[in-house]
Amino acid sequence: MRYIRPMTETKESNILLEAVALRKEYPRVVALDHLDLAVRAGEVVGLLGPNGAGKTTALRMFASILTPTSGRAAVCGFDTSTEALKAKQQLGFLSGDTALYKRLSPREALRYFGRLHDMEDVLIESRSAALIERLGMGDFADRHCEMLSTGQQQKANIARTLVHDPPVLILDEPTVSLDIVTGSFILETIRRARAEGKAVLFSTHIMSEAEYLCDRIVVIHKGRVCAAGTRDELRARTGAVSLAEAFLQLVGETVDIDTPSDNPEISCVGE
Amino acid sequence: MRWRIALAIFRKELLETVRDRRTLVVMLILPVVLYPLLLIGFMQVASHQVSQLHAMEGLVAVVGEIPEALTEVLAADGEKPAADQLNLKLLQLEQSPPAPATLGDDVEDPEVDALTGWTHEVLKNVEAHAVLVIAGDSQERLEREDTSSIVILYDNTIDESRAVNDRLFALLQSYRAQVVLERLAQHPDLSEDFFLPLRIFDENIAQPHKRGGYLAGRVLPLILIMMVLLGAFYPAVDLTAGEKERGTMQTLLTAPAQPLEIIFGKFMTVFCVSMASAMANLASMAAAFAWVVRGLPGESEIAFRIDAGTIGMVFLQLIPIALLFAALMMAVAVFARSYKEAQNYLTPVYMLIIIPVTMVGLPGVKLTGFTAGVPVLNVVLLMRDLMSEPPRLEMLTLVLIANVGYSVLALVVAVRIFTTEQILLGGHGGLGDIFRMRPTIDGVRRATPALSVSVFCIALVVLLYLGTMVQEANLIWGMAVTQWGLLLAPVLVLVMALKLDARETFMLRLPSLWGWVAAIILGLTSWAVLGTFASWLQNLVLPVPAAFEQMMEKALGLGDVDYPDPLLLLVFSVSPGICEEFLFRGLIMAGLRPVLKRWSTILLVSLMFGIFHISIYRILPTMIVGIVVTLVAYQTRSIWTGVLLHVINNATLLMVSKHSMSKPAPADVPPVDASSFFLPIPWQGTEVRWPVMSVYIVLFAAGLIVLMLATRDRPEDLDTAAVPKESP
Repeated sequence: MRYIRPMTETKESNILLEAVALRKEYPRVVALDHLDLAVRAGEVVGLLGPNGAGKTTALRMFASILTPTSGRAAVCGFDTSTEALKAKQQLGFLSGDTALYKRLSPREALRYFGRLHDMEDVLIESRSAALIERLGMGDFADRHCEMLSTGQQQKANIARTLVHDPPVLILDEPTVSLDIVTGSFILETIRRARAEGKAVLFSTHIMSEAEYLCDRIVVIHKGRVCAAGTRDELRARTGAVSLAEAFLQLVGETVDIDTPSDNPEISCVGE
Repeated sequence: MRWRIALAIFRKELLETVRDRRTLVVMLILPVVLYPLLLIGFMQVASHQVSQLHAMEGLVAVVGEIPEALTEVLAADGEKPAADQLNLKLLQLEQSPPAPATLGDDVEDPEVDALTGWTHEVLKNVEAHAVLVIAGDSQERLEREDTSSIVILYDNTIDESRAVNDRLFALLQSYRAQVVLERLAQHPDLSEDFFLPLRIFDENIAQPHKRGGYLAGRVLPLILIMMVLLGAFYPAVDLTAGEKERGTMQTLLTAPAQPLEIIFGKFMTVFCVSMASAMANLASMAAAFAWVVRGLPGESEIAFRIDAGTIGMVFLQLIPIALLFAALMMAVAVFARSYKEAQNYLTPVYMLIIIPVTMVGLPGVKLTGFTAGVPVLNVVLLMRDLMSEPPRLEMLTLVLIANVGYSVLALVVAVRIFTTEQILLGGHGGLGDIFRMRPTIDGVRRATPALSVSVFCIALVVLLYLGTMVQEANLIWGMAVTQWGLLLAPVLVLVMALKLDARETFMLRLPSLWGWVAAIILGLTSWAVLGTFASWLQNLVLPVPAAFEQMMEKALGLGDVDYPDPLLLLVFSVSPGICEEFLFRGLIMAGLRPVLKRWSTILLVSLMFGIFHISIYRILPTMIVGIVVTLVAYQTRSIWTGVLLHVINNATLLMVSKHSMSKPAPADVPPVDASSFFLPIPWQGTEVRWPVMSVYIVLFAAGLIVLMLATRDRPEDLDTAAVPKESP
């Protein structure tokens, strides 16, 4: 069963990232079902959900790493499966567990990814220098990545994501396993990207991050969207005081629908 | 495909690889150290062994009384042995058995036989290296100008014993010549020439470099191939599974590079490293021969030229081999999620490459039109030739073209694998699933590929050991026990124990009427059509020796014992028809069907079927028949057509060979005998007459057409039945 709605006109509504009825299934499991989503320029949208909810699958389809089973995803109007190359060129992708090449220095890694984006060498050098300056990477820009601390590596990763100045950023749990200093540094980078007019989609299961950053939030659980809207809308809908509470209620509801017996843990917190 | 992107990937991968110490060690340092050490070590060991043998004193235990004159000859040798000759010492051992009174002209003399046991003991305890047996009447016979026999007992497998025998034999020959001269002196009417009708000289005319090249050609190509393989191994794993393990593969996939560009960049890196490794090895090898070997003792024996031309030609031949290895290893390693997993997956690939390489050691394996088409083996053979002979241009090009072909093929496969999303991400699917034992799909318990392969291997081992054992005890009963007890019964028990769906596993459906018809037609004609084709092909590839044909006839109950026809049919046609079908077209095919396409399944099952018949001469014919049997069973989705075809095929083959053999044609009758309906059987090697043959071919083709028409829609059903259903 394939149902595709026509994509909304990107330029008019300023939508840079869009998903329509996006679905991904594997031989024995449906990882994501019917995701509708739009992120406009200068907007940060959070994808919230517990582990295994389908967040990473969704983001990977935006990044053209996975092909949707049905539905469509587009970056700046380019379909991620049929125009993957163009879509990828508009995109910076970062995840918490992304590693860098151990035997390359951050500067060499930037050069490499610049070339993969088909940039001129002169442009790559100037962009890299600017990013190294801005992210404070001067001390370690020419050391091999295997010598760097986790925080330094993640900074290098951010630089790698931004080297081609993409209009769209996709961040898959970018702060996972980072200390608080680097974590907040990344959050600041996201705010700054928003200020620069980029569209940012990021996934997390940390409520405070979502609360702090997101203009809108999409909550997914077991591959399905259970709620979408601004923080206040979600809170109002669930009658919860905090976003965390709202989230738990939303997720708890879905659990109740799927399994007839009450999930004691969820319902306990919900009260 | 944008070349500059591929180039960017290539440059980065190369940079990273060069910065990896492991690669550098394998690529450069190992070869630079390996060859000089290997050569020096090899030559030292060789010269040490030779000198040790020369320094040794050959102990000869004498049984009986040595004739006086012979004692003098042997003693004279002991006084002044030449530098390269063995010094012999005669012994009279204490527990020496009595010498035989007389010896006939037969070596199989019972008196001598009685001594071998004692000789074994003597050699085992190194009391002596050989035993010289002299009959009691030797002296007397010599005196009256009669012939006397002398026997040397030695063990060919012991180096020292062999050396002593050689020396002793030479001395005895010179003694014999001396006796002849003495006798001639008594008869002035006879000239010396009378006893010397022939002077025989043999001289090894191989030039020194060829002699050396012959030796080096057996060892060095193997090492060179292994080093190219090793050179490709580390980067191939590092750039695929290694990249996944480190978590950088996903980063790379989010960059706007097409899979093809990524593969080419990586592939070129692996290829370059492998080639660089080959170059380093060649250079080191040449240098080692040029400088290290020179001046070592025994130089004249082993020295040979590896000149610039040879190096150049070897290098040229290594290019497609490096391409092939790079593509092959990457195609396999990309399935793995980690370094360790990749190493596990690559072990069989390694074995697969080494097996043809070791075949170089088999006697008579030469570079021919056929072997030039066998990848890897062809290059090893070519390099062996290049080191001892002037190059043959046609072989050079043939090998090059063949290997370029294989490498392109491997590359195409690698590209296809790379462009599959699941494999690159290392998530679902892939080789891991194929090897995993997971008998339940959608609630129905089915055989898995892992199960099929395991069952095949176990059956093969059981057949090799238990099967041959019981068949040696009694052919007819042994066959029956093997088929029913060792093959069918365990298969049935296994299917029950694993609670597999027996109907699905064994395809226990009845075929349509036309399915039966096709099986019967093919069964009646395949022995002639396929048999002839197979024997033609077999002769082209690997001619069957006559001894094997006789052995085969014996194994099929067509030997000396005349078994009644019904018994032969029961044991060699009905029972294998049932038992082997349940194993191959049943359980083994059931596991492979869901994961492979139609022809891959058929070919793999047939190949296993061929291998199962154990002999290297039977793989090809059995596989060809297997293809038809498998095809019929697969198409009709029924094991019964397979059983029927198998039974009929075996029965016709058996009866034809038995009855055409029992009345051998007289030699003067021309081979074309119109009255004979039966065609010569394939393994008799006689040509088949075309008029009769063409009828068989037409019928055979008709059988195939009936089969395909009758089962047009079936195979798809079969596939979907086995593949997991779509999720709702």
